[in-house]
Amino acid sequence: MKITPKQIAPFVGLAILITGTTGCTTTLKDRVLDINSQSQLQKRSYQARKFDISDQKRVLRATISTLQDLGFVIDKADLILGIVSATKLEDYQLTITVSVRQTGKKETIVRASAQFNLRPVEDPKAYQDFFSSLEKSLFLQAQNLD
Amino acid sequence: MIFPITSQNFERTLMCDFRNYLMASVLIASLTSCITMPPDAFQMPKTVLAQRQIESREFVGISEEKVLVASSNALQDMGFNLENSEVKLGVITAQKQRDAHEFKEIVGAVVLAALGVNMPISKSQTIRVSLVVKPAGNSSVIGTTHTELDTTTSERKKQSAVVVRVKFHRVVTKTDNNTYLESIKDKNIYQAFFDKLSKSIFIEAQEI
Repeated sequence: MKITPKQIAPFVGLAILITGTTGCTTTLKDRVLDINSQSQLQKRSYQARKFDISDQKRVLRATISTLQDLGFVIDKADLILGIVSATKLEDYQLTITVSVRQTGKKETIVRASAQFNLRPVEDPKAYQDFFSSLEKSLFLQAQNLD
Repeated sequence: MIFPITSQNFERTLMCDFRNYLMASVLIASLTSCITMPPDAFQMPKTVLAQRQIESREFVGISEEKVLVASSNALQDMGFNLENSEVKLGVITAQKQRDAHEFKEIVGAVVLAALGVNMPISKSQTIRVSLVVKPAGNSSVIGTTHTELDTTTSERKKQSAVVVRVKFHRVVTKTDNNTYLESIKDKNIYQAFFDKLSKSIFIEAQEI
């Protein structure tokens, strides 16, 4: 029983169709720069929030506690850079990096970016959930960036 | 799928169909990622308070820095390699590689091998830990350990208290080189960890 080219043809066609639609034609450059995802401004609009507080250390500590409550193991934290990275392993790998930056106006901007397995997380709802959890730890309201 | 089956081509068409479906599903599975992020990945789990209590202990009468030093010594006692630290935020992270063979899995695999089925078993694992120390707030945490041997109640209230929270997870590599990711949630492991940590902190406190 041999597999003839005629038998394979529809599957090759299916493979090409799937490949084209799921973006498997991305190159190394696209992946290094995350070109196929949304624009920088778009991403920052839902990945960042500001809080009416100027204590960077307190915000970082609250971020670390919140991430631990959410089931993350902290990978790295840096007070001067204002960065916390953490990973959650639960049949999948979810890694998040949060950066905290004091602005001149007694506000702190918190920005989170996450990666789920091999893809960046681009769902605004996921970030909304994260900031809701962070708000509770800080007892402060998160505001959108203008 | 309905097609005219005769006794002659029955077996042949059945095998062809099976092979075609197999090829199609393998192709589709390999080209699209079937796993999507669960919608509650960033929501507080209902077990958050219980989990916090399993993973945290409070220590009284010792500074944050000394607790961190004692913690890094305790982790080293347990064979961990320290990776990252940020003293001002009270964070230490560490990891170690260990064998992951488990007796039950090996027995199961041997039984299945006798039946002709090759089941991959756990081979090695990387265990990662993060330990965070912070001043105790108003949240109640069970398991307070007092390091001062002889104090009155009012003095105890004035002493600094710190909370240590630790979390473990691991990546297990199987014999077929696939990996398996797991959060470690067994409270016995955390209890045993804090027993060792308490001893290390006690030693650190004695050297004041």
